[in-house]
Amino acid sequence: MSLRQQDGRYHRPMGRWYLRPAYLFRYTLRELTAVFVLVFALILLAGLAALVAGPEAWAGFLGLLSHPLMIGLSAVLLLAALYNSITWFLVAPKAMPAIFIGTRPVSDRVIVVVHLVVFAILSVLIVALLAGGGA
Amino acid sequence: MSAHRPRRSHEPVVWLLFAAGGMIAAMLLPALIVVIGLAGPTGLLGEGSLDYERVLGLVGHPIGRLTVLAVVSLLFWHAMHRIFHGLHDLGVSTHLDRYRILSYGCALLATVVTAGLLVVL
Repeated sequence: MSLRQQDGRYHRPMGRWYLRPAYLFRYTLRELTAVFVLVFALILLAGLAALVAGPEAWAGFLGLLSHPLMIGLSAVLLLAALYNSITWFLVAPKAMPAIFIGTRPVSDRVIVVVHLVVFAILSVLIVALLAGGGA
Repeated sequence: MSAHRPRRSHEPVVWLLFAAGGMIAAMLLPALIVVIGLAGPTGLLGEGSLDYERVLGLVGHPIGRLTVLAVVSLLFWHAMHRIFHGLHDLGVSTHLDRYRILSYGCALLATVVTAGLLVVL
């Protein structure tokens, strides 16, 4: 604590954070999705490790995934991931350099819609690739 | 001697990894969570879609290996970058190098582990 007061740098105070404006809440929510992304990345890593370890470990990994608590966690992860996707696409026009067709700048709306279309196509492709292996 | 030389920042490098991981997370994660976390375990995906042999074939293919390495490692870089900057918002003294090293060290470690697993797969 003494370090915080003495080092002469700015530290964001946390007092009454729940009274801050709504945009700060949305910002925090967006940044918080990183924790859920991290959790899913760890699940993927665990799956990869199980795949390396062999069929029994893989069966154990699938068994863990089908536990009701894990299904619930996946539902939460999905909500967080969707929030991350939508906020990511909405800031994309601000984060990327301006694009021009001829001399006309491409509008923010078009950039967001293109991202959403690519997102939809990739999502269908992923489900199609991994689904219905056929016994 | 170098007192007036501006300090070079690591930020562009980690921001590039963060942004790449963010695009991957935004584009692929909802579908991956649906398939691996929800539809697979509940049987909606179809018999045998997540069978060991089948997944091994997909992931073990050279393209599969590269894809898995890119997706998994960049997700870690994305998440750890945001968590590192989130620590500042929570009042942590993130100008101290140890938090930077810890955050990006985790992402680097995850990258190495992922690459190692894919090599021995």
